Amino acid sequence: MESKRLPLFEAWITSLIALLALGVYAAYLIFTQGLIVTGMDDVVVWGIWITADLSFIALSAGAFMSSGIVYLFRAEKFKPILRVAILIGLIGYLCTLLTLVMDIGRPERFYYPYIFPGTHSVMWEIYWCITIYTTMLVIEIAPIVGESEIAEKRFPFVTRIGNWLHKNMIVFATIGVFASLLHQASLGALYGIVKAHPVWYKPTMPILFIISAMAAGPCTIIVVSMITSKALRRELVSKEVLYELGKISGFILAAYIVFKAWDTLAMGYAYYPLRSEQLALLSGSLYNVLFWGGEIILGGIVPAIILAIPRLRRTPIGLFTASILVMVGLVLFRFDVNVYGLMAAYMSSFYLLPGRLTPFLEPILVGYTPTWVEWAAFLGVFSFGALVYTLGVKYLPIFTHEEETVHK
Amino acid sequence: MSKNTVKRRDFVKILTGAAVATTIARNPFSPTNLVSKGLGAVEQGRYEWVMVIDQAKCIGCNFCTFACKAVNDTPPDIYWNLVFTEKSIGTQMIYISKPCMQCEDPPCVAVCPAHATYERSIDGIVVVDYDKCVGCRYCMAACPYGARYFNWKKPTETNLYIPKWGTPEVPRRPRGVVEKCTFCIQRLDKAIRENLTPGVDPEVTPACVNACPTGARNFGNLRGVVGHPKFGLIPTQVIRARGVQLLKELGTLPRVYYLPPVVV
Repeated sequence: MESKRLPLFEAWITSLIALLALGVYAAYLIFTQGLIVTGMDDVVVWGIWITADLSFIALSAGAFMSSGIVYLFRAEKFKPILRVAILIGLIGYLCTLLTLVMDIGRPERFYYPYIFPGTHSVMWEIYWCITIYTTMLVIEIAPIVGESEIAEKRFPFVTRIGNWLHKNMIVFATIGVFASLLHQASLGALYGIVKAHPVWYKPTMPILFIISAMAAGPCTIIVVSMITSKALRRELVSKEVLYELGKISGFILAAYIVFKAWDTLAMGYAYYPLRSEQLALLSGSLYNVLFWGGEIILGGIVPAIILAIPRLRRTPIGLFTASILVMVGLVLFRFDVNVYGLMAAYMSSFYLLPGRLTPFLEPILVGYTPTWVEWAAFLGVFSFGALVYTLGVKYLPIFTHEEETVHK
Repeated sequence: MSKNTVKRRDFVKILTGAAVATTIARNPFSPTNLVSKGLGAVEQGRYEWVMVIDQAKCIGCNFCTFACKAVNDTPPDIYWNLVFTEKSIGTQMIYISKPCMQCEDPPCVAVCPAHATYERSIDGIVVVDYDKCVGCRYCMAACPYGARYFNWKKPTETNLYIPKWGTPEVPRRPRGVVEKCTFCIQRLDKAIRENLTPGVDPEVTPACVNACPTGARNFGNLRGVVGHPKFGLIPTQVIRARGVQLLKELGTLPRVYYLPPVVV
């Protein structure tokens, strides 16, 4: 049996390294030739990379939720998923940072917002929140690294630091929860405040972003731990905990559907200059399928029904399907907001009225096709995350629950 | 070995000192940083630069675009000013040429995380500090006029508009930063320094205005005089009464006014 499993693991690692190499080559092209190698232009200024960043951050929401549940609400039964949630969270944020470094025009100036603060910018606030929260995730994972065999044998100081941090974890967990709540919502506000794009300019953006992230965060934990259990052929997290997690996600998903319905109906019901025309234009494109089919039905209503009915939710296949659908729906939501929001542009021109010309806006739909470099860079970052996760599960005590005794 | 350590420590000290000094010197909150470099503190509210584009006179020749490309040395795919064909009234075509609107309440400035794009306190012109721009492109998403351009690649092409349409007055921008029309601030600075009048003295009037062969483009101080160096002044009352600002309803308060043609 052992000899049968090993080649699978090696094949997995090899393919990840191959994808990573492809990503490194794409990054080399980007850093040497500039962002001209991407499909973005002066109208669609953000493409699939920003969509990936938004999705990585939202899918990592399980980390702040589980540390909030375990450390602040003291729900000890969720302790078994805390470590894997933190590992996924840290990897998600690292992937975001890696993608951002490729996406910004001057990567060597990434720290400028700290020393030349643009205090009135939403992006500045997000910069700080992401910095603080990534630091908190590093602090939260330090005790886990300290417990590993390698650290205990060769680097005892890591273990000492980890133990000290573990004793004061409530402080860091609280900071992390607040930083997360702030920037998960601000990522929506990033779009919601932009008057130039009527499709974005609405107060529901931050609400939808944070609720959808909180619905999808637990689903990531469910999917990742189920896949890992399958690969290692062991039940790493008890099914009961995962079912409970699915129930939490289901409740939040129901709230998300309510807000989404409110938002969608409000946008369709009231006339808003230009936005209504742009939405009419968008409904004739692929957006219509992605929004109604992907976001609403497959990513919202179907998993909500599965998670609401205990008979469906309490089966591994039902829970897994629902979780995957919620994640897909979230990624499509971020894609629709980011890419289609930019593609729905307009020409400001003048309209001929009897006697004089008055300003008039003409909605247009511009194109955007990601190049292979964009896909390769994204796949490289994703495989980096998968590689770190695999090695983390292999060498760190992620799925062992003995730490409860250490904690006491 | 010990020699090495001392050296490294000194190096770190120097580096820290330099970093602290730079941070203090370039503190965005300090009043000196808010005033454009090289200019003394001039009382606020003295300058209200406006560009007035008379659409009845515009013939769509694109001379403004060419002069701009030469003087500001923009790469081939970046146009700080563009002329679009609009509608036709009978046989007469109506054109609209769009520079940066130089909003009084610019959405692009509000969203910049690095304080790289800002309003000069002396006259409120919106400029980009190319040494600070991170290249996040949030300002481009926030600009309702599409007036901002990103340097997607290193500009290496020779500028074919030089020397026919003018000589470059500003250095080229590096790869990865955002750029846009500045109302030729190098000329406005000269006007403030030497007490000249833009709109009357051609050497301190923006290049696009000077290049206009029909006097459709005018420039000046709304609190002083507005006009074209060759074609004379436009009364400011006319601008205030008939001037149309693009997307006024967004509350951006553009400094570019259009005078739409009156159709009989």
